[in-house]
Amino acid sequence: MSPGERGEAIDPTVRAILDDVIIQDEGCSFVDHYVTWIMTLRKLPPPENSQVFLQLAALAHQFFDADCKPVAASLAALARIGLDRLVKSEARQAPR
Amino acid sequence: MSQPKIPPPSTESTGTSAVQSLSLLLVFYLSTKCNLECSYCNVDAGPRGYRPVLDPHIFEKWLEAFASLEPSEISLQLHGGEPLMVDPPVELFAAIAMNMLARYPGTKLGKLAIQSNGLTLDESRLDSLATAGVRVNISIDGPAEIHDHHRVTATGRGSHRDALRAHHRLRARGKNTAVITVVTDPQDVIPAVKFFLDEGFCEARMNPLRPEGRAVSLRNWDDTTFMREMAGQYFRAAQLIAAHNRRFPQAPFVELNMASLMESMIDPNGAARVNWTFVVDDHGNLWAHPGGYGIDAMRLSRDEVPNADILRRTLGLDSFAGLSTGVLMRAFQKFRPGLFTPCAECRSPDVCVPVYGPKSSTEMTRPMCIWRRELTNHLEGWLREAPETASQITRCDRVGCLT
Repeated sequence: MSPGERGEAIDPTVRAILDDVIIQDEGCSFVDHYVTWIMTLRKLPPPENSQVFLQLAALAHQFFDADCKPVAASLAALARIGLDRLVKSEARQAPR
Repeated sequence: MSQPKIPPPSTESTGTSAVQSLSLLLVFYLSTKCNLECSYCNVDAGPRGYRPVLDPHIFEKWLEAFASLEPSEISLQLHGGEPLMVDPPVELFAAIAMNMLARYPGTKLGKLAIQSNGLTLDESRLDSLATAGVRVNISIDGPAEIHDHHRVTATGRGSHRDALRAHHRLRARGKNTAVITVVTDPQDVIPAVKFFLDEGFCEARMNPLRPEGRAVSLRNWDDTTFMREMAGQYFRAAQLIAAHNRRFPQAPFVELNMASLMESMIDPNGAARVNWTFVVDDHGNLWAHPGGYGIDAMRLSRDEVPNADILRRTLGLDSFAGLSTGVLMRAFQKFRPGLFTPCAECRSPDVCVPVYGPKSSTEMTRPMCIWRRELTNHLEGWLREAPETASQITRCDRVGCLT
């Protein structure tokens, strides 16, 4: 379920990334300014921005279901920038 | 079952043949940061000092520039130093590559691989790399006594055990991937091949030492007997490999340099495939490859922000803008011998020309070509005398098994 379908506001950063998704008639689909988005997301502290990364993951899933795999893969890689760090952080804080 | 005919070995340059497809291999030296300090490192990598990482923007721009030539395929190798130590991680470089090439539906992304020493490769990182679509190749020079002589940490500790463990982690996942081997002494060729055969490896690219980086000072490169001896030992290794593959057809081993040479002799249509390799270093400069890195005359670009126009100009293709891919590929063939220094040792510009850098250069050393030329002579004679046996060293899927 996408952020919009859950009634959850789409984060402005995620909205801006979505605005950079290009789907062309001849079947090309990609995320424009991709490196810039990578650099931007790497600067965001994951705990305070978990919604950004979760929303990106949800959107990646949606694009995958819509058979738009290149964009799905690109968004999934953006999501993992934060999610991987969140998972590691959770693992460190979990009681042993 | 009918057997394919073996054409006589070609003695002509393939430079004028009709080109049907162009495959590019782009090797990115992402950083010279490394957890090893190998004695022959071609990029002088190591753990000490400040070592920058290639700007991902520049990485993307080079990819875009090459993709604008509309090759049929672009393969990527991400090297270091040690690519698993770079930040941003190689998984993100891979994502950038996939996203960029998605703009060019006529260009297929071939293999996307890293070349790692394996020291930091654990299961969690393997999961991450698999998710990112990154293949992993490990560098192993053969048995421990050879490997640990050169591939050492800054304190001199050998790395064979770690490299082998990493390779076996991959095998446990069903990926008996190719290894890259640097051969520093002709007497190491046979022990290395025996090690790979005994240990069940599938593929290795065994590269003779090249005069790059620290290897420049390892030996006297004017001594041509070194590469001639090296070629002789490679040929002995080819015979070992052929015998192994005949005996164990279900577990063949391929040495990729010799397999490619033999395939180009067997398959006359191979000339219609142009394979061209370039290096981009950690500063974003483009180099002729292999054998060009670090030799100033072989540097193809200098501190420029790459784009399609710069690349076309660099390769002598600037007057071909807007023409079809087929025309462009023929232009590649036509211009390569003019752009790069012709080689007296080798017959085929497809094989040797990229080694030698811009034509203006006058200070080229040619050890790789001596090796390749000598080895080609050995293999050609073998193919004439015992074609079925000689063909055992090829990749069957490329040329068809002759037995």
